Amino acid sequence: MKIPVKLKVNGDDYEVYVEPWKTLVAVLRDELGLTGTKAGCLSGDCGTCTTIVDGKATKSCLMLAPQARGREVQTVEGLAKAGQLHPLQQAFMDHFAFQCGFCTPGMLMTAKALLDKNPHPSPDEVREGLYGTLCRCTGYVKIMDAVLAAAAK
Amino acid sequence: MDNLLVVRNGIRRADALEKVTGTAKYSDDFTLPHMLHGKVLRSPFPHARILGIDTTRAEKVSGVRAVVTGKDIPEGRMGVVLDRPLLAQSVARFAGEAVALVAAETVEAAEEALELINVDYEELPGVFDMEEAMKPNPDVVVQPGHHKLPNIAAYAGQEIRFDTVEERPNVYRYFHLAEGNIEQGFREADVVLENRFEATRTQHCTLEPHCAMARPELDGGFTVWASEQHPYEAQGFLSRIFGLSRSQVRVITPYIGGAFGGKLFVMACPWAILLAQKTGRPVKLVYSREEVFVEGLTDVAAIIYLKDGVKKDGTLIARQVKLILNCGAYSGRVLMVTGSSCLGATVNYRIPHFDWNSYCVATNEPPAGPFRGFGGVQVIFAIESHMDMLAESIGMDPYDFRRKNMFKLGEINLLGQTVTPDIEAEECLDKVKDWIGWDKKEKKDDSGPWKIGRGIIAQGKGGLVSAYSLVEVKVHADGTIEIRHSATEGGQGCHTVLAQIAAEEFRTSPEKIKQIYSDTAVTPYDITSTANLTTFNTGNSLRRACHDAKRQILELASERLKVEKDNLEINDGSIYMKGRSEAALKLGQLFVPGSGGTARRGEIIGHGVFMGRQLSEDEKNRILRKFGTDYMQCHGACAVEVAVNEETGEVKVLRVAQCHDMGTPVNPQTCEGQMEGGTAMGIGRALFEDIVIEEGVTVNPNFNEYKLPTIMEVPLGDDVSSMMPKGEPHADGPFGAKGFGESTNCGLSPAIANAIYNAVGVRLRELSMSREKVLAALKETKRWETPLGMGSTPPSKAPR
Repeated sequence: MKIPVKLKVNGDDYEVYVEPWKTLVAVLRDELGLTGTKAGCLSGDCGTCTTIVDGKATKSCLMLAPQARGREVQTVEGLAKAGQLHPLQQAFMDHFAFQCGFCTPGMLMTAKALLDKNPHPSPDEVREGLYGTLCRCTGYVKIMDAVLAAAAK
Repeated sequence: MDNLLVVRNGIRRADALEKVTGTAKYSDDFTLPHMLHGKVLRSPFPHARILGIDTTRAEKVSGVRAVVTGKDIPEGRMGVVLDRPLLAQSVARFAGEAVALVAAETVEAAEEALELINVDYEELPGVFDMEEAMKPNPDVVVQPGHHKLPNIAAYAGQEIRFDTVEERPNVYRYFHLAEGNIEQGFREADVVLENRFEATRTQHCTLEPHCAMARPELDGGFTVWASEQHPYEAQGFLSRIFGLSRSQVRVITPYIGGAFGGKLFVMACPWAILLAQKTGRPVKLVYSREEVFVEGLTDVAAIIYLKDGVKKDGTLIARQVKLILNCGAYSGRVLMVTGSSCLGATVNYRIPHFDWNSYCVATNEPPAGPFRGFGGVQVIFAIESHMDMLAESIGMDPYDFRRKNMFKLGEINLLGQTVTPDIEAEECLDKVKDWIGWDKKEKKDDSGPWKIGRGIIAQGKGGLVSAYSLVEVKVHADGTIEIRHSATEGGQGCHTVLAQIAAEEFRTSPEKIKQIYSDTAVTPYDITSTANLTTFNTGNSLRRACHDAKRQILELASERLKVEKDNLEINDGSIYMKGRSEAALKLGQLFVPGSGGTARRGEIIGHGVFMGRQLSEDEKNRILRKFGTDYMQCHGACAVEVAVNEETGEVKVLRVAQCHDMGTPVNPQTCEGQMEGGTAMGIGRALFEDIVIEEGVTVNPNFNEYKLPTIMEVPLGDDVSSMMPKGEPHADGPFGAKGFGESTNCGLSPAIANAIYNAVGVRLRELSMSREKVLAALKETKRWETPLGMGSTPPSKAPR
């Protein structure tokens, strides 16, 4: 039994018809084809599904589709505007802040949510802000460098 | 070599833009029209007879298109030696073993059907302790008749020698290596120490779960997109499993979300293919995170008995190792780990009397597999912990003790390999020692419960060398260089390194390099992207392909210009007379306009073939006779500073330095990344990562209860140093580079163990060194008074 869900993603309006127990990550990936947001665990532990919902970093595998009704969702696909990379994307490239890249969309969105609220965080504040998003490849060293560099701009 | 344009610079990664924009595609990002979703029903019991399976209710679920059980494929087998049924037949041998498959229109329908499959199990006793399992005439035999399976050559063309001990039916492989006379060695020693070390399983925890999408083809074959490190090896496994010729099996491996050795076993593929064949439709099968933890292969649990003899002057004289590996119910690549794990004990220190015995033992636990280090984590933990204990027993500084016994240039190690200039083990150790401030005796505030300590280790391991790699390079009229290869990018940066090598060869910018990769229908053979392999093997093959293409171009240009080929060179899309600053010809002028091909030679495609380092006859006698295959030597060192809380047992890693040799690196930044990533992975293994299996059942198969390092658990910024030594070129590596990156996680456990001992005087011999273990050890030590002996080491001085 599917229900209509209207939401805004990266500035565009969408209406999808999904079962009420579908999660936001499934809506993004399966209904809207926005596969940038990843599904690493589907239990809210790894952070690869992190998006920004109404300004708040949100693990989209823990949000049900009906809960996303009427909300504004930002995903990695919406970071670059008019061909211009977001400073975080640029910083991640310049500082080699990724390896396999699977955590990168979630990490970028987590970092963006942090910088949107706290434009000049200290290293400890960056640690607090990124704590919920895992990375298995980089050891976080260059991720910290990149976030601080983007904040400095 | 000095006039390098691209190589040796930390240029931007080739996959950078894709990955930061979210456009990089991983296996689960692909779909096909009319695709079904596959799910696996798994045995909840570690050892059980399967009396019957009733699928009638499952088949009736709306949306279900196929239900497959063992009786549908009685002969189907997989695994390195084909000992593992595709689906359990009359018996399930581990909790998590696949028993049935469902394909349905939606994941939910498939999961609903799984619940309705009725399996009649009769539980059997299982064996879970590896030392119990390896006894002669054990109570439980995991796989009767395993030792009668035919040997099958696998993995770098190295035949698995089955030295199995027939009266021990749970021992799948026994490996032995010796030098000198071990009993004589112990007699000559002034001090003999004996200890037992243990390591639990850990899991790779690649953030991308295993995934395969299979499409049946009209010729009876199939195409599969999969998260695997090795398209051609996968093709080989799958064609053998399904009785097809290789040309009927197309394997495509896009970007993979991490590997670390965990994506080398065609997980998910065979089942997706079975369901695709049954339904005639594409099927995608994605592992849940729980399935990855249970059956996506873990590192191997190990017990190491180590007995070392040392002389009062610091000479290491005898080493005896007994390594027991718990490979779980089916033999996978742990068969190779059984042999290759000796690398961590044979390439570093001079030891005249050496005796190595390793056992691959089956239990009714989920199968284990290769993990970054390939036995190195376990072996190096034992050895480098013991080096500190030995040093203490003779009153020698741990750094001095290691330095005294490390191999020097020109010596021959225990595998028969010569120590060449690219092995910079001593410099690596010196650099980390200096960075951590080993010689500084600072006064630290010891008043609170936190005690500071430092630990240092040296490590050696191997990378695969005798591998076969093919590369093609196509030159386009506009100067674009297109590399066709099958090296899988799992994050280590191999695509970037290859782009740099090609750009260097053609004296052009990396932006002019295009890559077509990892599709067996289009790109040529590469063995796999693992084991420090790719830069050396694929990089060398790529250089040869570039040389071949350049030769073709210069021959055409020579004919056109009526100039000797040797007087011409290629630079950034144009051909120049050597010494002249103006181009004699643009590349495009050699082509038939608009065709992409030249009149006389058609397309310019260079072919590269590399089959590993050429050994001299003398080397062949030494190395191949002893070990059967050549390995590239990779050495490094690690130093850490920790703080241990005497009241809670908490250990914080404050500072870490790593230094590894890598010849002259192609991309220094990606090399740093390997060390930094290895540091985090090593800290996790050392302090808090454990797969907990109770009576064969994995009890913590999720990220909540299996703790991965977050950004909180690792040192950052100036507290981390990822160094390279001088960078002596490897004689056979592309632009002097040699393999690197695999074992940067191996040094952390022993370095931290040594640092904990330095801080609070407790010696931990079991991984992980969890807070509970540290605290228990602290409590015991306060009453400790006996001398050195089995499993015991008292604190010899007050913590620093």
